[in-house]
Amino acid sequence: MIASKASEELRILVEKQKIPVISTLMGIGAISTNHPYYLGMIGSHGQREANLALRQADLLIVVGARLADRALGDTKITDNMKIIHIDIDPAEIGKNVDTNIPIVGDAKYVLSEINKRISEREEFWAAEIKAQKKILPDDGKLHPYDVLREISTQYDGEYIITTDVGQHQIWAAHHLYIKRPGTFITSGGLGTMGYGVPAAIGAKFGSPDDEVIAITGDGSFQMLMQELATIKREQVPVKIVLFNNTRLGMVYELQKRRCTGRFIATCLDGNPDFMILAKAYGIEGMRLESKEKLKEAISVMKSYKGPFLLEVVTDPDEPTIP
Amino acid sequence: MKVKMTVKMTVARAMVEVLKSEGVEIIFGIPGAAIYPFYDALYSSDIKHVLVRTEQAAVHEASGYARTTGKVGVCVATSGPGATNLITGIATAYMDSVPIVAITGQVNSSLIGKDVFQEVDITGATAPFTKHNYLVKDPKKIVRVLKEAFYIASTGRRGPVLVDVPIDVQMQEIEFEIPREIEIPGYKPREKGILYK
Repeated sequence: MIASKASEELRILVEKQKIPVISTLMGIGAISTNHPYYLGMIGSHGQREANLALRQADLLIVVGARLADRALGDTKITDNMKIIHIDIDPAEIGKNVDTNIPIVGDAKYVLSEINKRISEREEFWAAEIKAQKKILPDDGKLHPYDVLREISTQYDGEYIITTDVGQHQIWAAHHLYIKRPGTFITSGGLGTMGYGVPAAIGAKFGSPDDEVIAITGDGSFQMLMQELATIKREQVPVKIVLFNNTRLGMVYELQKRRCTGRFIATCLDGNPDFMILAKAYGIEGMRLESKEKLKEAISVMKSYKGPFLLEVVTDPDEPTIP
Repeated sequence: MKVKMTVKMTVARAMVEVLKSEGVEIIFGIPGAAIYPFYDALYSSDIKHVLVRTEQAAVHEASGYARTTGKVGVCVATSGPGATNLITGIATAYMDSVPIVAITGQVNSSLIGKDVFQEVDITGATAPFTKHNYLVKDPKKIVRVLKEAFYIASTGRRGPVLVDVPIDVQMQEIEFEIPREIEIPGYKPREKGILYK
């Protein structure tokens, strides 16, 4: 969807036919995340409304997604659901899900052809599902979603986001406002920890006029943190938001749930002081520990001209999905 | 009357000329002994080189660049550990269909298979997660191969392509000529839709 630059064609299709839109992790941004028909990301780490819509759908139009295990989660594709599968790669058709109508081609071309042949519809199908959207608690504590929503508000979606892999990746997928296609850059398929910061450096070279923000965690960041030297050498003004819970958070959470709290090899005590680390590379930094300082911290980061590291001290027991 | 103009140059220089003809403005990498002729040719070009601190980051940076510009991201590494350090980055790009051309140096072609210093079979290692890859043993083929690499990486379902060039090949002199069109038998990506019944 994003590679084929088919967002406008998608918007026309769903607005004409009043079709709700759900996304895989890689598809985020194909349609603006605040579009009234956008329900969120599906899958094992997806949003409730999106998964609910997927389960209830009698017709699923898949554009460019491969619907691998993580995207489907617990959802079973039954015979009641008809599937139109559009993909440029014929090898994707029928690989993970059976298809009723397979279409091989470039998404932009195929969707524009479909748009020529459809009529207007009256009612939005998933209005009820949308109304059930979960409200996040405000308990005075600093949660990752507070930080991500504050970033969304202050920047109004005017940024390119890169993420690493882990809990912060899912927090970012759920809570950041992604306005334009191609501005949410993440390692969706392989799930490569360490991707976020180098990807941000590359993105900044590719799009120097855009603000580029890497969302990372302490585990992922340390996999390729030597790239701080590249940031320093080339003076790449990227912003890094580092959620530090001193954990390999995804696996820690898994052990909590599946191994009745037998935590092994998921506590990252031994982490450096990230503020001193940033300073060692001549990079400006700030540590955020309370909700009171949130607005100010994001505003300082936003107005700073050079590379900047914002460390967000995060509760290890903060769940991926609230 | 058409006049065919060719110029003599080294393979390394020809590689840089192809990058220029593909509109490459920036590449990410780390030099090493098996890729030094290419870097030497790069010295006298306008292409910006970003020196990373580990090769995996070079692929990710090329990926971030490709995903914001829609162009092919280019990364470079030397033979052996330089090449193997690229692997995670290449697999990452493959899974997310990101157009990348990865250029690696290789040991002297007469020594391939003899376990010499910093030798690794990188085309063998990356075969499952590159869209295509090449080991260039014939200096005359370098221009066509690199052009094909860009074409394959950026058309159809996009993805990473690796081009492995032995150091002696990089130093050979060739008649340089840029091919106008790329025609690869068996590779015809379908952009216009087809409905299977």
